Amino acid sequence: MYEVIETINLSKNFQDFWGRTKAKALDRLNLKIYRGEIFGLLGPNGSGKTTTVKLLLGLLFPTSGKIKILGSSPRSVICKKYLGFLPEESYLYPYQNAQEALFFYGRLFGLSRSVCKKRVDDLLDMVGLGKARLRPLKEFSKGMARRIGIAQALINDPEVVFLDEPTSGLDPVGTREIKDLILQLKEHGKTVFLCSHLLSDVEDICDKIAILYGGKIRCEGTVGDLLSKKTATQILLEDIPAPLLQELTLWLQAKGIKPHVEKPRERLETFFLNIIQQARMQQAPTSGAMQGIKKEDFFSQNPLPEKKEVNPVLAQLVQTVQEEPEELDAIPQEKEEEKKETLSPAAKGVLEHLVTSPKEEKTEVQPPPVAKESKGKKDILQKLLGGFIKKEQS
Amino acid sequence: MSAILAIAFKVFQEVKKTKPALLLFFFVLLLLLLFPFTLKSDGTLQGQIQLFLSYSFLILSLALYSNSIFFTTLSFTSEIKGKQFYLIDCKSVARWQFFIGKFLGIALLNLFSLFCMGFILLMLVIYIKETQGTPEERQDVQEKIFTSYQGYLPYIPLEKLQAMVEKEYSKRKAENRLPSNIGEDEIKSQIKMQIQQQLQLIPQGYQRIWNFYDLPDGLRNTDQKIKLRYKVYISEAGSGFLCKVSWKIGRGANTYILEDKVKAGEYFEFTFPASTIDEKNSLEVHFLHKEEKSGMIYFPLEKGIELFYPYGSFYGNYIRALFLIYFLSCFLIALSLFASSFLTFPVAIFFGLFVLFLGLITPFLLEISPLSTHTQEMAWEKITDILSYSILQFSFFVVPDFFYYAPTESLSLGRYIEWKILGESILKLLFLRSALFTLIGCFLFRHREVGKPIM
Repeated sequence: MYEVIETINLSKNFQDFWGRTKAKALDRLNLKIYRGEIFGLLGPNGSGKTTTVKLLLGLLFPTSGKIKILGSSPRSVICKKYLGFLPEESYLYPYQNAQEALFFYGRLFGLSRSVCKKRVDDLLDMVGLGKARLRPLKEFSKGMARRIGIAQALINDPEVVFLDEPTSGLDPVGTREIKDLILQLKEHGKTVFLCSHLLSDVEDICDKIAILYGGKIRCEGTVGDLLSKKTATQILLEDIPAPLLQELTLWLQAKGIKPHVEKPRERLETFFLNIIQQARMQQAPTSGAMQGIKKEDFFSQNPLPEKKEVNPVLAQLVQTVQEEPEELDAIPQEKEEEKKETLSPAAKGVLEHLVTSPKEEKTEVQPPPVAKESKGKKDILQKLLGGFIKKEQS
Repeated sequence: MSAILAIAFKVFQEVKKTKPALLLFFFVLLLLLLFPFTLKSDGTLQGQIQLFLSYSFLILSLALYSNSIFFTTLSFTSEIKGKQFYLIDCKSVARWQFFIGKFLGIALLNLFSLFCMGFILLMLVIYIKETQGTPEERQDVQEKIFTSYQGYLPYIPLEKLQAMVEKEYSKRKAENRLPSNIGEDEIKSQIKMQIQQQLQLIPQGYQRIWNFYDLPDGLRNTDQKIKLRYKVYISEAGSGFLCKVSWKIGRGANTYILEDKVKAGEYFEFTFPASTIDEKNSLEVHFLHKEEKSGMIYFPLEKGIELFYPYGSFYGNYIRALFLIYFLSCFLIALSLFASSFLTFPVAIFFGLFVLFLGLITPFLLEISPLSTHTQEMAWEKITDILSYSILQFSFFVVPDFFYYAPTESLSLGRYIEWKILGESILKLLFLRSALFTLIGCFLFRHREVGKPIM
């Protein structure tokens, strides 16, 4: 494992015409991203994510500090041969069609006409735009433009891929496909640097994340480490009958352990917001967006018209969420003593098998679910990534 | 190389699919096609073709120059503003390759459009020549426009002239008539001009002889016609006055004599046989002032009298003329790329148009600038003089004189456009000025932060 991307005390100040500092976009950023990792950079608007990506790609120059991409400067033309970049918006030429656009980017990498043509065909099929290859890009929807953007980022079979909001504008199916694609890239040893506001996406696919606020890294680590609760032990049970659950609870209470029975679920979104909230509580400086008005305030200022009919499904969902904790904690206190010693051998067996600590869980963690791809698409991807695998083997 | 070619080829895609560029192309084409039917000349076929050539070349060159500035600036700056350049900059393409690719693409585009337009123009000229006017007029056009003539200026005995200047200077110095605020060189150059002007003055009843030496070998033995072009001014009579002129060309038996009446202040031409040239390849031209009603006759110093002999075809001249326009447009492409490398679209386009304007008025600026009247000693007197002198010198070095390279006059008058001029344009416009702007532009662009601060 070696560092593919490394920043050392990277700082960026934006200056006016006279050289006076207008804003501090990045403040001594230190990152190390290893080969084959999917790294997610998170942060609210104006936190410095895009600035970081631009610095890593040589579009902006650092005020101080160092950047190393594959061991060399990000402005090195040789280094750029191994990079792929999908920007936040698909900055494509509206007068080109999909095929012309990909062919153009392929030729920029010095690919021969025949290789370029083959790659263009394969990539267009892979992103599902084979039939729209001759349509002008100005007629493309945002989702289609994103797909072409992804295709152009992979045209050179890159070693490192920078993806800025890769799933924005895509429909759920497209989003899943892109996430699968990113995981496939990882399987083939590529390094992915991902910026996204869609926390669920990041949570699903990233190995490591960093949260940026006010140009500083507030938190960094593996997703498993950051999201696990270190002061508690989680017992994962299959859906067991309520009496058995009650039996287990009483047994634990008898042992002096106070169980907290619920369906544990820590969302990255909550965690992310907590980090940002902490930073705001500390009044950390940022030139980005500040906290907006609370929802309650917003609605009180902009009252919605009274709804006569409530969506029954939504209403049911809301009710379930509210009721769930009550159901799980509904163990009468007076019966606790009685149930202390009444744990059956079956319940004991279940406990022995299912008690796991978060640390152990991490070692056995399964890879994020990969949607089953059609054979054709997998083949194309294999073909596209094949070149890289061969190179590695040789 | 494939990256440079890809960028160059994309320029063609850009033009092909953007409506303003196509509209401009068709507008200029329409304008050129309408010219032959809308312009009113002096009624002769020669006049009509000359007028058509002059105006269409003027329109063509101005359209190409302004389009070079506009399209180059737009194409370059829009890629940065529209952020499409982000995707290119992240590929393995050096910024200088992008710069050169753009230059190459627009230069090839200009070459293509210029030669398309040029071909259409040529077809129109041939159509007019073949279908209009009398057979004599057509013959006249064939001789005067469709044959390109090499120009010769009369011999000036420089040593003798210099001796006269020195003598006059010494005389004025002895008489204490030298102005105190002008340097010696400047005074001598003024005296030289005065003497040359005096030599061009011919009083009534006098004759003036000009000699043309070193004419091409073997010319005298051909049956080609030689052309003399001249213009006279007459004292005590305004322009338009009809003046009797008497010419005697050559010596001995092979003498050609012409008696004619010409309008003062206008150019006239007459042809005579090449046999008037003597064995030493020189030609003696006598002018006799016989007009009784006028005072002195004056031949202007600049192009007052010129000798032309047939040297090449119109078509060769035409292609050289197109290339002269083309090289000027290449200079403007390099200039616009340079400006776009560090300026935004409106500022860069203003800069490009300003330089074009400066290039078009260079002869006028040279005439009124301190460079033509002041000596260096004078200029060093004040800081402002030093500054203005340096800026002007730099401007004239950087901005070429567009009229010097403009081929319109030569083409319509049937003057041979020398390869020397073409070579000079390649050297000075392409290899010196364009290369200089390209180098500086590449350097600036390499150090430009194209990413915009978004906070």
